[in-house]
Parts: sequence; C-alpha cells; structure tokens
Amino acid sequence: MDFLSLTDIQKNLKEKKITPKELFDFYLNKITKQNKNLNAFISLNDKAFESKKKGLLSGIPLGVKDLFCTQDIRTTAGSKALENYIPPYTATAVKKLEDEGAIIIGKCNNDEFAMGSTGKNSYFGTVKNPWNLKHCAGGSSSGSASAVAGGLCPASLGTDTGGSVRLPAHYCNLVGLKPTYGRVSRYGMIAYASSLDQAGIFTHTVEDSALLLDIISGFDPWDSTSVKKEPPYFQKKLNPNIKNKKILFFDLENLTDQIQPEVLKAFQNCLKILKEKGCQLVEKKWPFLQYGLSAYYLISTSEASSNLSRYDGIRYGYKSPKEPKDIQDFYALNRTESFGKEVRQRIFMGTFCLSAGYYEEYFHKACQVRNLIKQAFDDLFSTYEIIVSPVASSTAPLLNLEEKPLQTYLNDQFTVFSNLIGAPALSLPFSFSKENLPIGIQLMGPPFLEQNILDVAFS
Amino acid sequence: MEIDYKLLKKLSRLAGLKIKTGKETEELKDFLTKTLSYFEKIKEIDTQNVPPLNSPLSGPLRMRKDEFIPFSNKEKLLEQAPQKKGHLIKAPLIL
Repeated sequence: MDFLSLTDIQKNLKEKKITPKELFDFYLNKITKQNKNLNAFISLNDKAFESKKKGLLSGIPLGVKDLFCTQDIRTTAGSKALENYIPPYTATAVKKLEDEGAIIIGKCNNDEFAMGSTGKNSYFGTVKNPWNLKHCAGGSSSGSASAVAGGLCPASLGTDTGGSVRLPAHYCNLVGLKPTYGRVSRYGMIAYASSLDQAGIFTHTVEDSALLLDIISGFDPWDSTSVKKEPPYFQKKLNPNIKNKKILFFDLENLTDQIQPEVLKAFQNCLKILKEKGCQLVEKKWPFLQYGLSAYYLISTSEASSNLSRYDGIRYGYKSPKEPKDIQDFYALNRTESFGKEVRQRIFMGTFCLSAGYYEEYFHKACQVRNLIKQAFDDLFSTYEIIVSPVASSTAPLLNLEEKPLQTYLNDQFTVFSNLIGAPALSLPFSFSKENLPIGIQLMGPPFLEQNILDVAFS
Repeated sequence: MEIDYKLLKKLSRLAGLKIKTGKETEELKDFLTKTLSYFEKIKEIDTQNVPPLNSPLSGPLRMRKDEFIPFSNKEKLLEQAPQKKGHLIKAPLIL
C-alpha cells in the first residue's frame, strides 16, 4: 500500500479491498515509526479515524501544513509564537477537503511563518528529505513534502509564497502545484505576504493534483481576493495529447555556472521530450530574471512586517513571563522571545522598506517593477500556453551546508515569478541525479489556465 | 545601502522587536546592508510613469458590508487569550 496515489486508494476503498480504518491505521503506524526521522509532522490528529462526511475523499487521510487553521487542532505556523494556539475555526481549503470526507491525520512542519526554503527554520526542528536524510526537504512546506514523499500520507496541502510548494516538490520527487492567485481561498491560511500567498498541493500523480485542485478551488466570501469562476473539472478534462502546444523556454546560457549540470541536463532532456510529443518550442530571454528575486523579497518582507504585527501577545499567542516596563516593552518582549532569527530579520527588512524616507525607493519601486514583470509575462502568455524552466538551480542541498541568507534566497529565483504575477505553476518530477536525488521541471501557465500545465504534466 | 546603528534603533522601535546582544546588532547590520545592496539592483530599471502593482488581480479588492456577523465559537476564541478576566481579555495598561 506504500506510496499509493489518491485515485488508487479511492479504487481500493470502493472495491472494499481495504477499509477506511485499515487505511488510517496504516498511515498512523507509518507516522509513528518514521516521523522521528523525518520530523514531517508537528501535531497528530490520531483520534479522527473516521470522517463523518461522505464524498470523493471518504476515509482518506491527508496531511495539512501547520499554516492552515484547523478547529480544535493546534496550529503553530512552525513558531513559538503560536506554540499553543488552538484555532476556533477551520481554513476554507481544509474544510473543503473535510467536506469530501478526507481525514486530516496531522499538521505538517514548516519553516516558521513560511519563511524559508530549506525546512531548517522551524521552532519544531529541521525536516528531513526521505530520499536522503542528510539532505533538506526544501521549504517552506517542508513537512508536507517530506510526509508525502516518505509515504506518511498520500497527499498534503502546503502554501506557496515564492516557491514554497514547488521547491520541496522538486527536492522530494512530488507533483507540487501552486494554483492561480484567487483560485483557492486563503481564509484561515496564516498570512506571510498576502498578495503572493496561495494554497498548494503535494501529490504523487498529476491526476491526484487535478482531483485536489477541483476540490479546494472555488469562490469564498471570506477571502476578499477570492475570484468567482465556474467549477473547472480539471481532473475530468485531463488531456495527454499536447501536439502543437506552444511552449516557451528561456535561454539559461548566462546561468550555466550557477546551475548544477545534472539539473541543466534534465531540463534539456525535458525540452527534447516535449519536441518529440509534437510541441512547438520557442526560446527567448527570461524577462527581468535578475530583478524578480529582488522585487519579490522587498515586497514579501514588507507585507510580512505588516501581517506579523498582529502577534502582540494579547488576544492569542505567546506572552512573555517577564514584567514589561510599558506597553511598547510588552509587545517587544512577546515578539522578540517568540520569533525565530529568520522571521525577525525579515520583519526588520520589511519595516525598513515601508519606513518614511525609504518607502518610495524600495517598496514602491519594487511594486512598479512587479508591474513591468506582469506586463512582460502577460505579453508572453498571449502567444505561449506554457513556460517551462528548471524549478531551482540544484538538487536538495545538504542539511549541514552553511549558506549566507542571500545564497539561500537564490533558491527561489525561478519560482518567484509566478507569485509576482499570480500565475499557476507546477513542479513535475522528472529524473534523478547520480546521488539519487530528485530533479523536477517547472511548468508555468497563464492565470486561471491550470489545465494547460496539468495537461502537459499529465502527458 | 549602509545601515547604521541609529537606523537600526529606529527600526527596532518600529518593528516592535528588541535587538538582544551586540552580536545580534552586528549580524543584523550585516544582513540588512548586504541583502539590500543586492536588492537595490532594481534601481537600474526605469519605472518612470509605471503605476505600482499591489495585487496580481485586476480591479479593486472586493469589499463586504460593514455589518455585525455573530461568531459561533466565542468561548474557544476567548480561551486563546493569555490573560482574561471573566469574559474579557485583559490588556496591559497603556498609560
């Protein structure tokens, strides 16, 4: 039963080859045995073995990133600030899974407040990559990826602000989908950078990804950025015939010294396969490649500094045992004692970008560059149906690799573009390195045309 | 962009975050100076007359009516407050 897809599990349950209780016990047993090695789960929901609701996911256990609020189940965001937080409501995306009968078996570890690309920034410890425990699982949805790749659950939810689903999917050999901004409700998803955050999906197969996207999509009045669209039926419409699809890829010549040769080779092989399948391939220069990452970090840290100002230790969250001098001291004690180093650094940067005297030069300028990037990609998507690229420049780095912050940020240089423009993107498992580490390929499509990328991935 | 001690102190107050040690001050100064210098690359781009893009969605954000909607799980919401007095959340003195 190891590593079965959701569609195979659905079939086994329907044919009564397995009962929901056996299925739940199977995964719970795997978590009990393997979570101490992987550290993929922060909290387990081990009493919820049977769902009350019947639907497409009846009796199927799923993992959910600990950034989604789950009523009566502790939700930490990987932070000491929310170590004991028990939400009084459930995030819409999770509720939609539960409404289809899914069982939330546990909450997956992640980089604190989704800030990180390695899985090393959680208050609850480092997450490991099931393909090689010495390597990182990627981040920030580190536990969601590690849990599915390690067979601790058949699929999971993550969130993606700059690559936080696609990067760990690439490192862990999974299909990682970031839908269009506005497609899936963000209600109940703990905010990092609100104009970039989007719920995402980890699965073993493209079909499973389409199935879960069908379920979690939809308009939600509780999210002011949720968009009204007709139900898309992605899974039903999956079409492996991609002949004559117009596919764009970018010239990576200037980056060959930055990209691991095996990753580059995998990418070139992918282009060859797409050509053999009858796609029309065109090469162009990557617009604003050197600037996307800068615009992304200036915007995301600014939004984070504003979003995280809510953690003051009054209505919920960590409160310092120390006696404060005054109200400002009260806030600062609670926040400083409960946020990790990466989170504090990013709040400092965002505070700088939004402060008087620097706002125009940094935050405003980054938003203008974001507009130029969006215009350039809108223009490309008026001709091309898909943009294909590597997900990142290397396979999963070693956990003990000491990197400077800027070097770590460069992990996101190919993934941030789809967040800046709100477009859907998917990381597709493609091949393995000599060290047996997974290599994925990124497929990006125009906003609200997830079907384009799902079809190419399905082929 | 060179971040000096005076600016760090101002940011610390605005961010509601203490800088705990001398080592942390130096680390933060180094982090901000180096990363901002890299991100300043965007200054090379001519953005004259380009409006800022604050959301990938076109059009203004949808607003909802400013009306009272009861929350069904009030008790559990209040349970999360670190300090309470009856049904009230206890806040620190502001004066």
